[in-house]
Amino acid sequence: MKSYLSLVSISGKVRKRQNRMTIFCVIISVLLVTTIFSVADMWIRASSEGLQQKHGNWHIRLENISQDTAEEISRHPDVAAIGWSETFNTDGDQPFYIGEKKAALYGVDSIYLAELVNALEEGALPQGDNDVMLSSNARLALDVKIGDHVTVKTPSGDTDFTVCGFGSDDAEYYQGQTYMVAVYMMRDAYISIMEQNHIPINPSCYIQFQDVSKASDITSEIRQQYNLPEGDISENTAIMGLAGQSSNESMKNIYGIAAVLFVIVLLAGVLMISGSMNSNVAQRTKFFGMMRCIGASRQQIIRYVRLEALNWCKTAVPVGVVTGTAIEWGICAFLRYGIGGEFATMPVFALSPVGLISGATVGIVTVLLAAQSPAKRASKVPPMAAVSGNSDTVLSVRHTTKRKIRKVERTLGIHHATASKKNWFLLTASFSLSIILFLCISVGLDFAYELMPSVNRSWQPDITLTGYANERVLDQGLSDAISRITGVELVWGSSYTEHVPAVSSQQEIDHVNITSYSEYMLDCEDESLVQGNISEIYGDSGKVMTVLDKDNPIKVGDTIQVAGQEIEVVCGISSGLYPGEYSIICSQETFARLTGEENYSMIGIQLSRQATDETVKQINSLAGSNVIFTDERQRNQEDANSWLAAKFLLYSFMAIIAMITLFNIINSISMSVTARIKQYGAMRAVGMDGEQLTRMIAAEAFTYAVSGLIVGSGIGIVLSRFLYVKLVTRYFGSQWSLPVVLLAIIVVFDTVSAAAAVYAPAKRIRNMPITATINEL
Amino acid sequence: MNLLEVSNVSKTYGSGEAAVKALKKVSFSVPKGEYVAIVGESGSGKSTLLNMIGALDTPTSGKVVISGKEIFSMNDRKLTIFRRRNIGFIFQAFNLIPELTVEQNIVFPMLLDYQKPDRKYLEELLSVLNLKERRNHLPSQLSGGQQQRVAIGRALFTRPALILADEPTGNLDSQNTSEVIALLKEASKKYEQTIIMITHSRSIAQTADRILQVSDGELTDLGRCRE
Repeated sequence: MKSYLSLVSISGKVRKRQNRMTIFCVIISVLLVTTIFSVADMWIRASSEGLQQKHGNWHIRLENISQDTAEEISRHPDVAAIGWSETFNTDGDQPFYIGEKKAALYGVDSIYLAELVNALEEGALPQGDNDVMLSSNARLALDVKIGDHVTVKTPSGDTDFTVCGFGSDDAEYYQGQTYMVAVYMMRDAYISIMEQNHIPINPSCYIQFQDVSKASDITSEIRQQYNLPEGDISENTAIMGLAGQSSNESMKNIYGIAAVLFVIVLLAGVLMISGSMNSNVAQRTKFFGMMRCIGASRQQIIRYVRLEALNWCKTAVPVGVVTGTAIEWGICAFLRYGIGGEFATMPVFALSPVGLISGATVGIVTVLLAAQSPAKRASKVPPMAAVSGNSDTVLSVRHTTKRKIRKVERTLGIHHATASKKNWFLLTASFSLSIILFLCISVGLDFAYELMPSVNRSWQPDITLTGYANERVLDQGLSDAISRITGVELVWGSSYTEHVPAVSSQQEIDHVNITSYSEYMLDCEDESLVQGNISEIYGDSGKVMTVLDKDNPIKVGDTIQVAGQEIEVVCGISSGLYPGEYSIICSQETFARLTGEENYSMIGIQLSRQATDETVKQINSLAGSNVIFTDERQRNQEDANSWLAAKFLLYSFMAIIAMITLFNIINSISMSVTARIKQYGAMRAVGMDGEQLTRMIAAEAFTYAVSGLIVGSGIGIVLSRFLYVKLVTRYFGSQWSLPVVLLAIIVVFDTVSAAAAVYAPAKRIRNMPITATINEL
Repeated sequence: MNLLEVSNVSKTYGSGEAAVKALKKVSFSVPKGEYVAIVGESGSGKSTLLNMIGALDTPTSGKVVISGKEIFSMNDRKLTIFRRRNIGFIFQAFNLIPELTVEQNIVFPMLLDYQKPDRKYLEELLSVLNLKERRNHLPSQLSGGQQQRVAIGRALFTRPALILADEPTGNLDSQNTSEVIALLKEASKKYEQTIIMITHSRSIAQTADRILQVSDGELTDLGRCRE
């Protein structure tokens, strides 16, 4: 024994049973952080690959900059690569063809294709002006292979190319459709075609940084140095977002929420450990008093308690980290094999340095933070506590209880809970935090649900047929023909026309974009109705609905003059088929009256279980080449998987938080009973029976539960409303309402937790001989 | 020269009508090496007086001077260090650290002072206390008398000028009581330490150099009783 601090490890070995609870609290905190960070790390790894594949590996895009400026920027030490790309006819609205299909033309350089977008799937990248790389759907749409010759037809003439490879910089856009093919050619060839057709050239410059973590700073630097207007710089939001570098408003909101949730989890850990340590210290008042008597300074006591806490970390951190990693593997395996989709590439048995380090670091930091209050409390134990034999709980009672002593055991129980204000605060805060987290996470679920409209739309199609540029080229006859194909469950039509001049009761509205919904779609929209009554929309009613999002100035109650006819906005939904800006949605009949058009812009098809590849082929053949055919099934499946994963992760998170709360209250009541065991022994000796004892402990537990419920629900409801308005109402229009069901679940959980906390300690003390409780110290 | 000087020390608990005067202007002094017993009824104020001397509690008025230093003029940090180096405590309930062995319990105050324990002195103390055979035992493996001997060893190890003992024999049988008292006397003599001991027992008090009686918060010096 070289130092007084050696007592920490000696005591740790002897007091294993007493320390078990606190160590368990630390383990839970560490494993929670390790699991969350590790799963997030694995998800980011999997997503990064997927997102790079989908959106490219560039970080920012600059418009309207000269070749010279770009060259200067490329010499910046933090810039890894610069590539050029320009696109034409990606909407397919111009008469540019490859074979019989619409051609989207891309003029690119090799850096862009090879380094910035990982475009190549098969073959080679274009090297000369006669080479082209085609999007993969060209294999089916044009029946071509590498080495074949293809002709790009333009209004000013044709140009022949050789197919050197397949691939694209936006695989998702071309996947599942055969109406349009992407044609990637070298920039000189592209410029030549554009010049022939008298189309101005305006390439975009794509920049990849050496270190994405500095992307935000370097972008600002470049913007200032070259005086680039705000609108000329755009970022690869997905890639920058994952690196925490996005300047996108929505991403910033998400970062903020992630930070708030992280702080809440950290606080929950601190409160849990702190509560446990406080009880641990409270049990040893006499010991600390004796230490002070024989010469330990306050600072030495603080150091002792801190070191004791760190000593627990020796066991708790490795156990927490290992358990957290095992849970992470389980979650990753479930996401990969159980859910699949975008999680199919998720590593399962990978170790996450971020998770391991943050688990250990946050564990130690949490413990040190949590030790702060008990350490100070221990240091304030007067040396008198050793000689007088009085515990701190007795000393801290400065006044008698003012409550009427009718049921003395209940009065005493409540008094035990409220006597130490700090302990009461810590336990109330622990309960409250869990309740606040419950309420906030439920908003997260609502947000995730709204983010994936395909999950919540009953009319979500498996296949869509769309007119180029939303032209109304699909007639009722086609819809009827498709509905007769075996394997087709349901067919609906929708028309769309934009920029229709309008006069509104609101001054800032000078045009509207009108969408028609079929009766089936209107029936289904009842689910996403936010405001008003949808039944008024049906038929030639002249009543319309709108999409309630932040970009749409049209509100329920507005009256709008369109084509000389007055229409009234009678209800609002959270999301529509087309973008929400200036959007009004009406029945097919009202649409025909307002626009004189009866054809559809889009036909949506839902397939039955009997559907086969033949069904899809038949629909495709009916669609013809002037219609965009899109198979949405894979995307729908991916959305469903993502929703399932979001639910799984958020519910798991809620379950863990619930577990922490439950454990915390059980632990705290158990420790509180242990700390007062002598007092309880004395009470039993003077005639308190087992039931009274249980009621006394229950009164203490329920005092914490009720105060936690009141504070947690109060703050949680305000925070839930705030988050809901920020995330859901702002983007999807839905209004917040009091989460009554959730609150009821919380009350039940709260009550059950308190009841569970009473059971074991009450049983323990009832079964203990009175003499043992009196003599125990 | 007096080691301890207590001047006009009063202690009142509570205020107004509920005020309880535990000590009323108590004054006395104790020279170095003297062995003093304080006697009195339960609730007479003797423990309060001992707590004031040990700087465990603060008086309402008056002052306590130990080795020429007025202890209540020191801040908490200085007072802790002063207490650590100059005062040794012996409790009725022993208050040993259950996790530490006999030897570790004895040297513990020295470790709190970041000093290296004097092995020679430790051996000597263990021998005087008759604990050599038990040096590696835990308190739970000792009898009450042995535990109190360890507590005495702990109080003596830092060589404090003043040892305060609050009914050190309260939990012991008559044989152990005699042994402990004998030890305290021997220590007082051998190491020139001043001992102030609270006791209920007149016979134990008779073994002291001087007896002070506290009654209803007032102190009476019953004078020297040892030859």
